[in-house]
Amino acid sequence: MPFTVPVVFVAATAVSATSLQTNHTALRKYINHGIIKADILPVSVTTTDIVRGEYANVVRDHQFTTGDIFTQFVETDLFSNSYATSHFKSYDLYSLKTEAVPNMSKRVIMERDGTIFFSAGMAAIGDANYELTPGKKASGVYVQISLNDRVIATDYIPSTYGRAYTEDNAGADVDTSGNTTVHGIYSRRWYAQRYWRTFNKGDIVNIALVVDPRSDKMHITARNLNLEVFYR
Amino acid sequence: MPVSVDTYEGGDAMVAADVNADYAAIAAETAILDDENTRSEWCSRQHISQAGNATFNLNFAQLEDSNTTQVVNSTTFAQVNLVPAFRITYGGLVLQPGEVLRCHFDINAIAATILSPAGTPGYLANEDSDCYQFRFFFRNFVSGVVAGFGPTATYSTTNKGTTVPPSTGIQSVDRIGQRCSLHNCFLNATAAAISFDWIEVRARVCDTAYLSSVSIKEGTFQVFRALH
Repeated sequence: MPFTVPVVFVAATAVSATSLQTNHTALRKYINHGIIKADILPVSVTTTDIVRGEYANVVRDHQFTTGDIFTQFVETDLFSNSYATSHFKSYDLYSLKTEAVPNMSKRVIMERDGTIFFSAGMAAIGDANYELTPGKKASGVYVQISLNDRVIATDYIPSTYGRAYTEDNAGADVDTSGNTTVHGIYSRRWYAQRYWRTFNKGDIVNIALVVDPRSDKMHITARNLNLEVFYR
Repeated sequence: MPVSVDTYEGGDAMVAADVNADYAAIAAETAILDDENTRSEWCSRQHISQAGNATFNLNFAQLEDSNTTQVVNSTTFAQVNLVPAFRITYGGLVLQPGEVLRCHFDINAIAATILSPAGTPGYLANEDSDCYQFRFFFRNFVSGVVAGFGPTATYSTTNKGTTVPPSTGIQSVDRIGQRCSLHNCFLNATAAAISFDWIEVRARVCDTAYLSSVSIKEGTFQVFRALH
């Protein structure tokens, strides 16, 4: 709150030293660490008023290279797996239908117009033992963006398509991954994707990594997710 | 810096000069208020002028493709063109000293054509003969010079075979379906501004005698500028 004078002197009245000191003390306290956010005029600060990162000669670092970091998820447990299944489309295995990967989706309610920048990566492997039909095949991984509370089938973004392969049987490259060795190891692909989209104030944005499973069961590991929001 | 004033005690005679000095000190020192006068992190978003573009991060640009396949079959870096071409044109975007361009691409390599000695383990002419590569290039709007920047993302098409351990030897099967990506922060660490005409993604194969082509598809390309 703004500085207020504790003692207001009255005309034709003697000023006491104590009163004057009280005023000075209050003023000193206000100026020395008493100024708060509300005392600064809104929309009065430009980038020149903010301490910048040292970019040369000292440390090449940048204070404002990123936006606001909205949640970060990093799976550090090497043995932690999540699972996906194609059971939800068991009569239509080859159709493109997606399900969200656990812990790889976020909801952001936009406070202002702005851009959301989404960085995610994970390893998804279809399990050979449970392939409903061997060779069908590479499960698709996508970024999906939905608005409000409605997720529709076309929310996934085709250009973010990545492949998560099944674990082949030795000697047969059933999933066309290029692997004909012992099953399990060599069909793995790391999926990484960055994507952004601009939204309006009030938008309820749901961003997720989704998988279109083509095997009966698949596991997902080594997940990583960052969400940056750049308000305009 | 902290503001200092004289200290008075009860019974002291009022001296105009002392009082005037106090207010003069306040007037002088409040003109140079700094972090000793304010609380930490007092500057919040509501204080920041949002006139015009976003204050800190500008010039978001994104290209994406979902259908077109491009065959990369040259050892010379050539523009990735998944229709649209992966070129973001600025026509003179000025990057001041200390500012950053954040550049990203993600592209699928869906197929590869490996020539002799395809199908049989052997040894490559060079350690990168089985590789394909991606790199960012830009054109200087002032000088017209085109140059690559950042690292070269390199992917191998060979895979571990059943009989040959990992080595420089070409393997019996190729490794395809890899989603390729590169993230680079282009920092203007010079003392002068740099003007960008355009930025694009280019790709090549390293040795057409071994790897004649790679097909790429489904990609995104993104660039934006960050102030320091």
